Amino acid sequence: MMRIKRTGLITILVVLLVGMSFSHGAEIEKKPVLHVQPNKIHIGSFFKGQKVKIFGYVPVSWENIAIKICGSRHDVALKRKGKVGVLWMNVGTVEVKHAPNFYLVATSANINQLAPKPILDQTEIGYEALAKEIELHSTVPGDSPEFLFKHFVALKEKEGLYSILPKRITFNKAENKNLKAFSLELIAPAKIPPGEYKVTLYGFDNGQLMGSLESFFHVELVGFPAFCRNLAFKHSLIYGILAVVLAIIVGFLMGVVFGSKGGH
Amino acid sequence: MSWWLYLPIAGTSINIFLLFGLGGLVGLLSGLFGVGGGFLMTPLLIMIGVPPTVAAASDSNQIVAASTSGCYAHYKLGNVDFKMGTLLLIGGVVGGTVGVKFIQILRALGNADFVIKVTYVIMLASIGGYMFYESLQSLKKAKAPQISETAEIEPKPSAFSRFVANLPFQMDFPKSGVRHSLFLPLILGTFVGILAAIMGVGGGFIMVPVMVYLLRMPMHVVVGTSLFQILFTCINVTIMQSYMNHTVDFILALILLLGSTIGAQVGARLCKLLKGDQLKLLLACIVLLVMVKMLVGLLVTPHLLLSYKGGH
Repeated sequence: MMRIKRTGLITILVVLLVGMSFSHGAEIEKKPVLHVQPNKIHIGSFFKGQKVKIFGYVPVSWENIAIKICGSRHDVALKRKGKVGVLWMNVGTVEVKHAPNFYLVATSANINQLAPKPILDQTEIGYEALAKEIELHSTVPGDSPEFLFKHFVALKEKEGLYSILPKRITFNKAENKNLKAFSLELIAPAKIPPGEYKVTLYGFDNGQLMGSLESFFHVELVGFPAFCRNLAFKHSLIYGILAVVLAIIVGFLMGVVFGSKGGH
Repeated sequence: MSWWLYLPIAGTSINIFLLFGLGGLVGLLSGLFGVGGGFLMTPLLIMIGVPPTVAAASDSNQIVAASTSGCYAHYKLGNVDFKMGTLLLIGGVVGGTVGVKFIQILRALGNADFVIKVTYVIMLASIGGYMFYESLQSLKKAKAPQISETAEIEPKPSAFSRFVANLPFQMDFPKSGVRHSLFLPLILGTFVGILAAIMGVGGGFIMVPVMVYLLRMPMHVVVGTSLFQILFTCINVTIMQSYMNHTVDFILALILLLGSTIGAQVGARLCKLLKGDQLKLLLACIVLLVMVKMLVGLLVTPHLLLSYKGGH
């Protein structure tokens, strides 16, 4: 009797454990995965930008996805050009507050197809949403925030630090029946400032935000550029004197080298 | 190996050969005309993506090397009037200080940029135009009758000449072969210093015509003496910019100066091959070209209405 009871208990436990493991496995299989490669970008002497690959898996139920890369936020001081008579000149200044030093959004569809505006604003996807997070003040009367933001973005886009890449993310062959693979390749520009960058993956289905996932990558100066920048900012007087002394030595040496070849 | 170099203060990468070529071109002008080249190099650097503040400050750093090299070459050729150069330099330092104060007042009034740009265009147009006309006339005259190459045409005594001759403390400047009052180079140096500070440049392209037309110095001595004066001005600017604004990119300056020192040596040799009037005509053309470029910048609608604060 005792033996039958024990066997019954063991059977129930095994059934429970197997059931639990199955349900947990199914949960894992549905969870999105986000990878950034490389997660450390080193700026050395010959750095001219670097290819970054962002890839992973999302549930098949996520119809569209967006990836947002955001750098740290700073205040920026700008000069505003304007026309006085027939001449174009600086007519005032513009203060930009809380602007990310890097902003990139890549999507699998057009931005307006992802979700309604309130959700895009909440996730800060797209320039319209970003504009609401940045404060712009101009000393020129009549400058609207929309006008200033448009020209601020144009300046940042020219440097390669702001960009919107619609339909750039591609979905690949499904990993299993619950997940589908995605990938995005982009170039971290030569002007990318050192610091930490947050990569956020957003999933949408029928205009609804289904979920999000975060990852990070770091950009840091190494070697001679790091030494130089450190010296220039932390020991600026020594740096200035060294720059002058080295310039005089090089100039003088070149003079001597050329002088010895000449007839004088 | 990548031929792109990362500039840690500018925060961007630029092709090494492009930088070397730009340095060479500006060094050539430096050795040829005795101008620092800042008025040409800074806009070129901005065009290839260097932030304006870093471009201006690093340019000063590379001019230190180019003018050392050019000045040494001209010294060996006997083309540097140290006495005149020192007096002009003292005047330049005084004028520079006055000019910086003047700009601070203008900035407070909100008209600084307008004054700077208009001063630039007027100065470039008048200097370039006058040099162009005068050197062209001299070249025509030299061709017509047989006049000795070294002979200088004696100018008619103008009101300016009479005023200058009556100034106290007259002294000889043997290297330049002129006699002037001690105050004349000091006053002219101050005037150029004020203009240079307002325009944010070393002032070589204003100093050269001042030495030629107002101090009546021979062109070959003018070039060497101008380089001597520019060397000290740029040493001061480089140290001040490094210390106050952290805008000197030494790596950028190093590549530029390697190109510019070679260019300066070539320029110094070309300078000896060309006649004074030919040199003046060439410099006039370059000054007028820069003036036209600035004028176009003032008249044509800019692509971007915003730019980072701190540049020219």
